[in-house]
Amino acid sequence: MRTPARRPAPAPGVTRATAVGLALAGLAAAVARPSIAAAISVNTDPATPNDRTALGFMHLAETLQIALYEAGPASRLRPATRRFVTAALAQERAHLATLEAINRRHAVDPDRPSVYDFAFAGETQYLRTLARVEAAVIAGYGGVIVGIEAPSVYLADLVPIVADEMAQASVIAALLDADSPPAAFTDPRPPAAIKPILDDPQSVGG
Amino acid sequence: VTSGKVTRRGALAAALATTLASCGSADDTSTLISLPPRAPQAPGSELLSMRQLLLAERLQQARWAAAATAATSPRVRRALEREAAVEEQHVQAIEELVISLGGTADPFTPGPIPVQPAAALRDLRRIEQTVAGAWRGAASGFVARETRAAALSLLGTEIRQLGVLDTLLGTSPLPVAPPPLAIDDAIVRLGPDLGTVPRG
Repeated sequence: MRTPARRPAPAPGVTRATAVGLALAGLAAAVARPSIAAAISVNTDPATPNDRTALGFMHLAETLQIALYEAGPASRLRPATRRFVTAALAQERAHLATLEAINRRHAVDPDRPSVYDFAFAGETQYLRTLARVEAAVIAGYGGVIVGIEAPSVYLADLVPIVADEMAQASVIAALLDADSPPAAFTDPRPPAAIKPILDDPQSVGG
Repeated sequence: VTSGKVTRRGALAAALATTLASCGSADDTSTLISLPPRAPQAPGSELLSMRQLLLAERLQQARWAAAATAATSPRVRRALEREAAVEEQHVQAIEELVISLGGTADPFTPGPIPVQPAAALRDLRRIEQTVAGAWRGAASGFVARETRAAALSLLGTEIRQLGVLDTLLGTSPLPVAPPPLAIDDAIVRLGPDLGTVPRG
């Protein structure tokens, strides 16, 4: 097992920026009917320090998750796991694009994303790491959702991301065949409390 | 789920308390999200929504239990019974939250319940989809942190339960969160199953 090595991330790809631009353009076109467009006012206020930190945390978490899903040892995964990883990776990339668009809109300049270098011996180790990270992400995102200072500005975009993470966590648990009693409630945590897990997910039991 | 009444009754309250305590520590300079400790409070409209969704959760509890009774496979029955127990936790926790917010828990009389196993599962999935959509809408729209935290927690469980149902029905391998639904719309959709619902 290797501790994730960090090195500077490459500059954001043109493709991703273009995709986000096209998505926003499509959204704008979809709402361009005069009677509706007049009622829409997109908030572009700079994020408060609290919300900037929250959005930066989510940016970090999405970057990590993309790295994890990209690092899946494909040849050692069952077909069902491979299908899930493919679907989840697509979701995480969409999440990151959403967050990048939000960050641009609200003048948030998140930390330079890390690039992780994972190594997994097999499917069980991989899934356990995914489960640990997803649990941490959901708890941290819960803290973000509860503590965000401008909920009307952000939550319509952020809650779907959390919902996707919850869905992924449920599939990972099923793939692990976890037989523990289902948890009834999410336990939101301040992002600072779980950031150490995201900083080094394999060193804490992956 | 047999960890005792204290755990069941206090689950949501404990989660909320943990959030408030861990997020609002004044001497923790690394705190990123600050929440001042305070008594639970929410606008009247959100309290009404919680009362309505409490009935929806009671409906779900009844339907999970009914589906478990109708199941012919012991494995399926166990899975359904576990989720019925989770719904019981939801009901108790929301009830406590409603009361702590100054509201009252409304009486619930379940409507007709399908008795054929497959029909029971499909009907349950329809209800879960609707309620999960309502919780998603609530998590995005609630202003009060207490109700928002509750909505988010409940959304997570509903999504997982949709996954359980999809597995049992042999449909999608990856649960997809339903689109957000206005609570009024959810209540209308569930109307025939809910009976009398409190209105504003």
